Amino acid sequence: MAVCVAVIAKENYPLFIKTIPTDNELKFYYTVHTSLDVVEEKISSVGKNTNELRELYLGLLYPTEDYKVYGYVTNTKVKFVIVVESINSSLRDNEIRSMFRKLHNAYVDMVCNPFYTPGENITSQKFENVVMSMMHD
Amino acid sequence: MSWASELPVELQRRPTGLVGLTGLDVTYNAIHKLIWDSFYNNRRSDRVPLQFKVFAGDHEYPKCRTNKRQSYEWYIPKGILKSGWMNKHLTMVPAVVVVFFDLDWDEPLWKEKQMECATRVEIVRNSLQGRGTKVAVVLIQKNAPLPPGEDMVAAERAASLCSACDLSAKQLYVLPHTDHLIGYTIRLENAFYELAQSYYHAEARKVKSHRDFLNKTTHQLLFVRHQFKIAFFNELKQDSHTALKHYKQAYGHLLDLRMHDTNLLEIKTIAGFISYKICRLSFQHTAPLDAIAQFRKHIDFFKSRVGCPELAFEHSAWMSKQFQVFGDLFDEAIKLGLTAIQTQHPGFYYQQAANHSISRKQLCRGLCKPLTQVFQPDPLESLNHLDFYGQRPWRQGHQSIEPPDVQREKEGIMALQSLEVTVDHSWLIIPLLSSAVAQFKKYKSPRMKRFLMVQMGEEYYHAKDYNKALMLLNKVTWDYRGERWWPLLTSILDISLKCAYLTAKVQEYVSACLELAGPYVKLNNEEKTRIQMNLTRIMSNDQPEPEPGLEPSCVENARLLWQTSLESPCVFTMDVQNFVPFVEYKAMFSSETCGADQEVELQVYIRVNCQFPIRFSKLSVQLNNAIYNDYCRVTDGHGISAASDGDFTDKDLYLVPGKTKLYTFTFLPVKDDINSQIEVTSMVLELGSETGRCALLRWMGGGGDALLTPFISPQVIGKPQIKHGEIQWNSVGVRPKTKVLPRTAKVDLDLCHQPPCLLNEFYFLSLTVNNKEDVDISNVRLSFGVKEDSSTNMADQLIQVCLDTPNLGDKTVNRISDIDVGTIPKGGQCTKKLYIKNLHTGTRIVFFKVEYEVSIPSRQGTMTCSCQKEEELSLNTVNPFEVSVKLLSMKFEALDMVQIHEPFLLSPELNCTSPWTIQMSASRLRLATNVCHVDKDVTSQLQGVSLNKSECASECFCLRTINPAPTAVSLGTYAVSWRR
Repeated sequence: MAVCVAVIAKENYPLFIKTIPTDNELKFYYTVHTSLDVVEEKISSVGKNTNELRELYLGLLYPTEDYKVYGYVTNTKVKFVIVVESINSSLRDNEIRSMFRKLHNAYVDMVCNPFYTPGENITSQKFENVVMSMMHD
Repeated sequence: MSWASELPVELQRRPTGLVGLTGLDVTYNAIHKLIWDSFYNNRRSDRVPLQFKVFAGDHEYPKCRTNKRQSYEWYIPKGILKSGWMNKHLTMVPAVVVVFFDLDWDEPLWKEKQMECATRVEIVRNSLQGRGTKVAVVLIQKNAPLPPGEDMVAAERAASLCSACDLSAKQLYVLPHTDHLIGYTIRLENAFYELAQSYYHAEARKVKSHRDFLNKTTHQLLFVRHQFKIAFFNELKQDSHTALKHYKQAYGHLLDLRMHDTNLLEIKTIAGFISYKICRLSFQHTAPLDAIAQFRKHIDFFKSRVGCPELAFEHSAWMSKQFQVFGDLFDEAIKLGLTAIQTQHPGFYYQQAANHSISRKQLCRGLCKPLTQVFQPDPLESLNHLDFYGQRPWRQGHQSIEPPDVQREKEGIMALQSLEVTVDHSWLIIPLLSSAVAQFKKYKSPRMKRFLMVQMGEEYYHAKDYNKALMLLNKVTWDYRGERWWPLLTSILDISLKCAYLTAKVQEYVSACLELAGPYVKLNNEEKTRIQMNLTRIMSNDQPEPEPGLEPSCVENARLLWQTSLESPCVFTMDVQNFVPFVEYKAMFSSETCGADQEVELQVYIRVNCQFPIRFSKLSVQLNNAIYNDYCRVTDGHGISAASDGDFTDKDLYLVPGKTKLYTFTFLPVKDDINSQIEVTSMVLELGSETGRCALLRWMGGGGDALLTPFISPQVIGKPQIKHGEIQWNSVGVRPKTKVLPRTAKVDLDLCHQPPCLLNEFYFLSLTVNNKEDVDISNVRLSFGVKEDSSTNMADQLIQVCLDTPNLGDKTVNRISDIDVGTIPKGGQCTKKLYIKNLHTGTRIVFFKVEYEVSIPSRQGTMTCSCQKEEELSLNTVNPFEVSVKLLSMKFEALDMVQIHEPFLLSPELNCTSPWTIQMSASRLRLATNVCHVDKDVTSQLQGVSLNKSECASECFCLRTINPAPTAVSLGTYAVSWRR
């Protein structure tokens, strides 16, 4: 399903990036990195007008020829980015949302680990397994 | 490969109706020239959209053939759209031909002239045989016309001319060449415009009428062609809505065609044309969403239809062009007022265009090679003048599924491949990327912009323009570093390193090495070791080994460049905030503050995180006062590659990876820096030798963790921790400043006095300075006075200080500075008497300051320190007594007023409020002129009286007034002299 899943720190450096096995991993890194432009723009445009609760799911970020990039931002400004192939058009918005929810839950579980310092790279096997399950479905 | 994807010029220009002008001799006839200019020049947007051309009277227009065909039954179309068709209707077949003729209404030889004109019209008609082109006649006249209906001759002659030339009255015009030529011209061209519109309307209808003859099996191509033509005629007619409708129909018919490898290029070419027109008109109708939707549909339909696999690069080229052209249309629409957003703007299309060009380049690499033989005849001979758009030059007009000649087909493909080899793809890709960069910059997408710049850099690298590549990449690395995207940074640095190697740029090469061998870069250890070894080589004046995967010819060239660059020494400075090298540095003064007589201790911590130990040649710390710099320097005499002699001392600069090394520097602060800060401004670490290559790594301020350089420096929390004999880097803080405080004075100031101070008295204070130093103190100076900030200007003048003896000068002095006391021996003391006279009650703060110099022993012999000590005293001033005065009659009755010449008694009464006993020394009445004593001999009755607190004293004087005076008089003043 997903071809790339990324967790980005509040300061915009990557905490975790997993891609499907490919020769060109770097391309996904760039895709995720460039999508932060839209994430930032979306966050800042919401922050200005109201203090009401922002929806965490940001929806489609960049429409590229081959991939669709979706974004999600937690309340602590940790960003999740999921890249799916454009061909996979059967994927509905709801399914993407549920993927993000799953990812968020896994992230929360991971952060609850007392041996994890927020801001460090994520190395949890359990977290990785969740991500892998999203990429193999 | 312009032949398959390029859009022809005639497609891209806005179609305007063509009007031919004949009978104008623009070369020899000045009036004709004027008329022509008035039509041709200044065609601004407020003029009707027409194009004018001068034709000779007997000009041969393109022959009209289609009319002859009565039936389509046996007609098999050879292609979709003829390549000459658009051009023919834009520039060759006029909608209107105008015959200009010099003829006035009062022409004496009217009959002959009328004949001549009719002949001319006839010739034009003949050459337009079969075309629906309108013909009009314009008479050029010398005289201004009379108002309509007045010139009977004109009306009559006009009617006769019309019938002679077989014209309707609406096709005959008169053009007087008077002053208002342009006004007439505009009226004329409006008339022509109407004629042209009706011509194009008729043409479109004519094409439409063919429809009934077509059948779906053999004439599929004609469905597309006819709709395209109808649309194009409507565009010429300036009816863009109808045009759009027909272009859409044409596009629909096109998608219905059967597609196979032999005709796919033709279909894609025409699809590209029609889609271009649809998008362009949609943008023009301010329906950008329609344009975008059409383009999406277009791309989605064709993107997987690659066609002949050996010519897959053609498909990429075509895709690239589609995106680029759409980007251009989008951008043009924005220039005309359309607003775009961050996720939908031309940049995306340029980016995709670039991506397709990149894949075209890759496909070309895999598929194409130059021809080894010459084919006869050349299959590409007619490549640039095809009959139909998008057909293969070696089998034009062929519409069957299988190629007619397999061998010929192969030759043609090989010829096309060899043609592709000659294309320099990088120069197609770079401008596209550059356009995309400009767009993403405009729409607030800095990261995308950077990514595109990286791609541009890579493309320059592929194009072997290493300097440009390096320059572009250098611009973006900082941001990737700042956001800590190490994998991306690694890949960029890798290319930078290659570029730097290939151009033998020492500084860039060293900086890339310093970073690539560091801990954050995602490379394996062998790779990092290799890079660090190259660094060692270059710093010890050797050639670096070439980077892997470079072309041998480029490497050979690079070796020569390195050879020349090795010959001259090269020293360069690199600021560490611009990159993250594998060396880290932190500086820390051992304390926040430092006494002027103490040595300042500066600790410099250095750590490297490379693969194997490295030896620097020099370390020097620069402080804000350059005097100290000499104390903060370490020089390592060994060469860069010398191994350690075993002991890990702080005299050399041999650094072992992961181990923190501490260098401690101490120095005495100079006098100028007392009360100010000593600050580390920078630290320079030298690698290599000054005679060969020398890299100066410069950190500003106190350094910090390499990773945090773009962010903040850590603060000092405590003493660095040491575990297993090694300094823990993370526990080291940064303290780049220390404050130099004056030496603490070792003297006591004893003040002896009896508060409170009484108003107007000279208040006595005794100040004793006790020397508690171990040695004599010299140049002792005392200052005392009113603390400035506690007194206003007003109060300044109401207080007087004096030394030794009380006196009151003309001016009040409220501070005395630098009273020279000289030298006080060890253990000795010195006492000074001070007086303060306060002319006001209330609290004042008075300071006492002693300054002196003392010689103290230090490492470099003795040093003289100046010290100072200051004490403050809060001094309260009170009234010594209160005075009240009573007037009494001679019978001691209280009086409100006195009679003239009548004696009366005046009795002042003093009520003591001072805590101290005060003694009266004298009292005196200073009487006014109209009052005098009654007694001759007046003595003070208070003299010698002492008053304790709350006691009263009173005396009595007998007085009388002398001269009759006005109602109220001042009696005089009462003065009391007193002391405590």
